[in-house]
Amino acid sequence: MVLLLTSDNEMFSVAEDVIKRSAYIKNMLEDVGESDLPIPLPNVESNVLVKILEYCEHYRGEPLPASDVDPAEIGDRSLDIADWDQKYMAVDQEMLFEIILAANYLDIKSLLDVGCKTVAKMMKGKSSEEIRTLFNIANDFTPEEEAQIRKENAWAECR
Amino acid sequence: MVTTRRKSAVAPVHVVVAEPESDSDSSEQFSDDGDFVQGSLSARKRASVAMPKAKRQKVADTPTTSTSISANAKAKAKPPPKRRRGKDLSLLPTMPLDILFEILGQLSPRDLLILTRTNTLFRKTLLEKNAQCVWVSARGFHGVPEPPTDFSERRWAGLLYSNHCQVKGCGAPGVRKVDWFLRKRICTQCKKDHYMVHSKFKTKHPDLDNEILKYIPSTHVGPWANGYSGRSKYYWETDIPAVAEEWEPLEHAAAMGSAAAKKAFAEWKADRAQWIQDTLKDAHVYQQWEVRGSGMSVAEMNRKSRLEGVTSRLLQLGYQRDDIEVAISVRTVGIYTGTPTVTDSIWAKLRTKLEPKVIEEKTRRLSREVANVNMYDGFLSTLRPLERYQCPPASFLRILPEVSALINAEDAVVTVQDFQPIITNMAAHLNKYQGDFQASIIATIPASERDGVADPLDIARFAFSCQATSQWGPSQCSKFLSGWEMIASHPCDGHWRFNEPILQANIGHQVTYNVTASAIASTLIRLVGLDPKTARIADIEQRNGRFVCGSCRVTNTTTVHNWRSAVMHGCPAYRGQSPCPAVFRLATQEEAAKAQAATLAIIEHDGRVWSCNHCAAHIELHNCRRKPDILEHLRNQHAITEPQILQDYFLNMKCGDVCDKPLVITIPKVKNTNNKPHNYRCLQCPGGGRNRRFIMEGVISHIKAKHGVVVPKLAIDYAVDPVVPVPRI
Repeated sequence: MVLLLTSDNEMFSVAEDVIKRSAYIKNMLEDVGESDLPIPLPNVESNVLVKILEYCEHYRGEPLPASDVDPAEIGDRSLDIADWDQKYMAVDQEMLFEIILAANYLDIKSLLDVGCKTVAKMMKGKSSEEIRTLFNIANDFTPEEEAQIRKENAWAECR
Repeated sequence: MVTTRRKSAVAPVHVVVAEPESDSDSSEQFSDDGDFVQGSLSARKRASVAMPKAKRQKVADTPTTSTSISANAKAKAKPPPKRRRGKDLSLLPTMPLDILFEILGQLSPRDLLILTRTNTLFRKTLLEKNAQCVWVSARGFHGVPEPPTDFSERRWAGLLYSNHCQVKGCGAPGVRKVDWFLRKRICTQCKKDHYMVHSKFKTKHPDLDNEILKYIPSTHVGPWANGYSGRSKYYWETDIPAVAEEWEPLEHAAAMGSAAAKKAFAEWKADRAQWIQDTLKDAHVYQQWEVRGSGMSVAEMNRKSRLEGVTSRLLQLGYQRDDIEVAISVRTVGIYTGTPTVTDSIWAKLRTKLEPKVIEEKTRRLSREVANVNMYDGFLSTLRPLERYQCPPASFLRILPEVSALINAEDAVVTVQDFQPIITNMAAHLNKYQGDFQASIIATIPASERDGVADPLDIARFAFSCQATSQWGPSQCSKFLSGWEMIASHPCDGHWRFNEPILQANIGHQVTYNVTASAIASTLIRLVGLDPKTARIADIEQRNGRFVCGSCRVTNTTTVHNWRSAVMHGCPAYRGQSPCPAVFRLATQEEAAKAQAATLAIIEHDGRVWSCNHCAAHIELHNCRRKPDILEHLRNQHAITEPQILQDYFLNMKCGDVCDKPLVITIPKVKNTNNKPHNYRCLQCPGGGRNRRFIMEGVISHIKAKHGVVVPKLAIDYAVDPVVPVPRI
């Protein structure tokens, strides 16, 4: 079992084969060996770690992706997301944000991919206004910049 | 593909978004976008688009993969990063660049183009030189050819995906074709106004040599309405003076007879001729890509994009993809023509046309599924209730290929009779389902824990929880479950959703091993004197132990749990609930006796937890009966005067929550006979301490601690001032 200490000082005891999906933890265990000391995760809160462990538990036993394989090279560039992953990612935006950051921090490639795809899917095919609404982003262009954007493709008389 | 830290397996580094303006490549890269390029934002804007402080801290604190545990222990000493409340995806542009680029790299160039028009931070990020890889990645993924050498990626995306006329002051929408020879998107009216046919060159530019036209890009995609031949060459009229500006000084210098000037003029012509030749060659490449390269024409791409947009909207409304795909295609009216992007206003119009088609298809499918359910209900009615109530809901049949073939059949009418052959194999189907389900549950137990255990589902320390997602939202059931009987009869059917596509219903992994619950269960087993490794559910049930949580700070009540409710007490029932640390002690004999008596009362008299084993009248959670009622039912309805448990009636496990309800014992208030009068007040406090009363020891310790008086004295530091009861009026 591996002990993990979250940023809010919660201790988790996790089976090694579950948490090894995190390349960060896996490398650390390989470097340091077995230890009774908890591994501190100062960038991960307990509620996020619970969610991350749920993912690792679900994919327990499945082969880990090779660290040096570019998803683009193996053709995994579609925005298709497995059903279970879609349900897993059906969380509020705050948790989605946290999962992506935690997956990046813990170096869980597959989870980071799923998180990125989920956000990309949310953005795909949307207009600027829809994206602003979706992500609660303010339109902070000045009137001059707005005008610039409107005419940015108007090249004809400038050439 | 963006190169990210994930690929390099290197710890995150702090990335400064705002780069120095001296990066000439960067300026050059996007200078064609007009004046809104890197370095053109004001200092205020640059400051505002820098990464937020919290983010910089978070990124900088990230340990490397080679960090040892002792090194991490130092990190542990640091205060945890402050949680940013209200964090949502509005902070997306402030994410570490490698993650942001990973996300953006999944989008199409069109989406990236739209993002640059969303807000300044997205715009700034995407127009940075280091975002070049995102554009390249998006272009590569969508099979878009490389831009001409004199085009930036963003300008290229703008040319390909902006449907507006690019002529300054026009901006007419709906311009579907790009003139690849001129590399411009121009509306018909602007073509008429600004194209110049070659035959008019001398009329319009009498001072220029005809030779100059060799070095100006031309097109043959002319405005037919003007009545010129299709073979005529057309020039963009402002290109001619622009090229002439370069041509005339070179020509003049060469005419002066200087060998160097002649050479420079010749080189200019050669370069220019090569550029024109490259442009023509590229134009054919782009035309081919447009027509065939992407496998479809622009119109077809637009239709596909529109269909995707509509599908996405319908999926958001809860329709399943199968129904949508059957009901709507690119040929459907509303999809076949129109803009590729389905905005809110377009969707409002399309919805009235398209949603009824999907509803019609859904109704057709559901009617078949209802037939399927009727067939299953018929089969269940042949079983005794004790066998029946642990059978899975009818939706489990969805995973049977025979059933899905019928439901997805092209034939218009599918009746109950069509499902009849499946009934003959129903017992085998059920056995296989239950076997698979048990295997999937057991597989969630860590191998190190379950190895050597004959029947893990009978072991008390293995606790599970239901992970079924609610039909009504993203919440989960989270119900604690222990033992196959409890799991099989768990009434949650949230994971059997009719909105899910057939064949995609997932029976596995809905019930999974729960680490927290199992740890609590092990503790409880030890408390009743059993060995967690071997204790079976029947063993701990037989001990009938009762437990009290020592972590719950309740002053006037004590909650006494049986082992199941104790486990539930320590597990959060829903996401976001703070779990109790759940440090249990064995209940005292008195507490245990009261709780056991209460449970007995529920089971024997008060609890609606019993079911008849002769009919299905009281089999569900909502219609279970009290024991006296069920005995009466057996007597009156089935003429059984001496009913036997399990044979004639049974305790319904679906009602586990009722039986396992913890007993809350109110602790009687003990009257303190040694109450001392609160007749003292502190004279050192403001106002002579009239607002606060003490007993004598209290006022002395207060004066010592609060006012630093070593030996408080009566009448100087404190006073006796008996409280006079306020008379009632």
